[in-house]
Amino acid sequence: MPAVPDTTGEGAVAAPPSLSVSPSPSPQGPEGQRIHFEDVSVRYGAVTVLSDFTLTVEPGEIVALLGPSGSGKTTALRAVAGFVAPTSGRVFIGQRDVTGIAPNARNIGMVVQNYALFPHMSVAENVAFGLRARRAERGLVARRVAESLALVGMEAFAGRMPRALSGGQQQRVAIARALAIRPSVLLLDEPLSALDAQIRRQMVEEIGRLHREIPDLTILYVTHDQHEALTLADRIAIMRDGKLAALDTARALYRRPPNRFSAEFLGRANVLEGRVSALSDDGTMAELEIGALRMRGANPHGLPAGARALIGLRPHHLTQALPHAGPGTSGAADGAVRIEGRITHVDWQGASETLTLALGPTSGGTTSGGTASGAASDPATAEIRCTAPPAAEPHRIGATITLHYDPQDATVLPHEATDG
Amino acid sequence: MADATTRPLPHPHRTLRHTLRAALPGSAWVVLPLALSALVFLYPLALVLHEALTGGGAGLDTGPALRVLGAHIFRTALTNTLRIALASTLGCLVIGFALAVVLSYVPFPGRSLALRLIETFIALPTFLVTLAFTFLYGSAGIVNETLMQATGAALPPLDFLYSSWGVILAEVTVYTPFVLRPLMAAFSTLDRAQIEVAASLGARAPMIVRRILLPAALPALMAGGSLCLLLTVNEFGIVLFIGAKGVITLPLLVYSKAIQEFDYPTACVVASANLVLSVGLYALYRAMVGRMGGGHADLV
Repeated sequence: MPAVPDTTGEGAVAAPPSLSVSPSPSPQGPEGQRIHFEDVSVRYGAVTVLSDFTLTVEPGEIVALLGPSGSGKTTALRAVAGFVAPTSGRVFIGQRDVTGIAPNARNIGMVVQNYALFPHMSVAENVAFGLRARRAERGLVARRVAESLALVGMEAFAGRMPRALSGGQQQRVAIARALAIRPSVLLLDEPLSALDAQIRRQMVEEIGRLHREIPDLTILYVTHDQHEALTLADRIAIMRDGKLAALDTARALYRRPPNRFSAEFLGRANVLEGRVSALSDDGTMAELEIGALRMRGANPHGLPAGARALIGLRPHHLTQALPHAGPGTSGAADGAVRIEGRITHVDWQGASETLTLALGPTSGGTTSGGTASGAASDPATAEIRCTAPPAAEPHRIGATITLHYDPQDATVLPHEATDG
Repeated sequence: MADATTRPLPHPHRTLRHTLRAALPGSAWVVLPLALSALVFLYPLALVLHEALTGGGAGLDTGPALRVLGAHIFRTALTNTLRIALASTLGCLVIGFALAVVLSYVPFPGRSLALRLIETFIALPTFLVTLAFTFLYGSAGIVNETLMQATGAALPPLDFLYSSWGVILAEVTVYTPFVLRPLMAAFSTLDRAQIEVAASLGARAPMIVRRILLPAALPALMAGGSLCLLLTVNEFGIVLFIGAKGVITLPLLVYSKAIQEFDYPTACVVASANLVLSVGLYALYRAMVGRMGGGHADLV
């Protein structure tokens, strides 16, 4: 797990609750504030839903908490909002320890999955709610409501009631309502989960645009959708069983997942189990013996020869054409790894198709470097998925095909990587 | 005659049903029970109305009825009835709303037991609560005896039970669960995220109650309130049992005229006025329940 910088500082001064309303006419809020979790645990009796969770979201940053149901991501967000009291540890917004502070004094904006618009109030009244709670003067309320609605493209709907809006429109209003108070931080709890796929894609773009317009806004974004996390987040925190399983930039996590769970959860990588059989001179590349197969990949963890290890490889990095076989290259590209497999399943998805291949002893995988096949063992049951544009001729189940990948696209992982 | 020979014979089990169906048209199966009900329930009511409108004579004579309706005792009973019913309903609404908010949103040990206990009042006979109040707040009740011993006072210091306030307190105690139940149902359907979002936006508890909970509870309050008003207008047991001096309501006046004075014509006029009031309030109640929507209508 990457180290989490602790910029809290001992004895941080707890500022008084800030309920003032900035008179700034700019659509941009006050200086974004960081969110910091310091060893936060949440337990309900014998059940631990969040365990020693430490994470800092820097000002202006979008961090996505990504994980399956029950991984503790929503609990972490609710601890920032004040709706979950940590059993131990502290939560900071900026330099202020908000652990024991009431939700209404935290100056946060929150958007939830089912919008939670107040059904008896118009769109404008919904957006004005937080400002009225802060007793903002009437002119400021009107100005902020107009600005916030314009920010989400809903200014024409100010007089409508929530029930007269579509799901996407309601979520836009919910975002405007959260932004109208100029929150220190914005908490988004699965904000797009209730929307259909097409609207969700649009809203991801909307939220991205919104953050470009308000670059100082710190956003904690809880989702189980990796597409949302990869598209929006500066950094992704992958959660599992109440713990932080991985934390890094979206690209780094995708390119070099630090453990099996991250590799499989983010991008559904193929993960095969074997033993390090050879290393490159500088140790940055390793070859794994996986039964009859020899597979090579990057060795960012510096695993030694003989160590039990895993190799993670994204389905779309496996191609039937040779990777990096540019003009003037004939035959295998330098260093490309070749795998043979028997097609067991074809999943056609329109723009792409996913082939599932059984890597049995008959497939006798070899590397392009000419390493001989080993004795058949595990691959008898191993499977690998390959995603590619659909072939002109439909694939035949049972046919044996050859796939290639660039070893730089594969990552060798520690064997005991499942616990993060 | 060829048709007669080829027509299939009727199924033996169907014969009776077919015979009955042939004998009576479909609507008769509805009309007959209704007519029976009307004979048992509506005919006595019609007799009361007839007595009120004829003054015991043969033809229509509204004179006696108008005299009763104009009498001081009737106006006092009507005023008392409405005043007590409105005050009790208001009390039920305020206490019911506060209890519903606490029971729905404030977690505390024994919450469900408290809810069951409050709901048990629906099943209790009204006089039982009144009897309990007599033991508690009556002249020789526990509270007064304790106070008299403590202060050395010669007379019971707490002297509200045998007045309109005693009736109102008893009615509020008995009928608050009738408001509580639809309110709890309304709160159970309210998305808690609304309350959380409101808090995150800076709203404190009073604003959340006023701006979020109250509007959400309004249909249930109106339906529960209408039901309370209907029941308290017709409340007889509590008023009689408390025996408050000078507190005459319409049901008590009917009882007094019919049973104690054998003045049936007057009793029928007062009962008819009470009936009109009740039917009007029932119409109001149905309208309120209708506004709550079908999903909630069966809860109240």
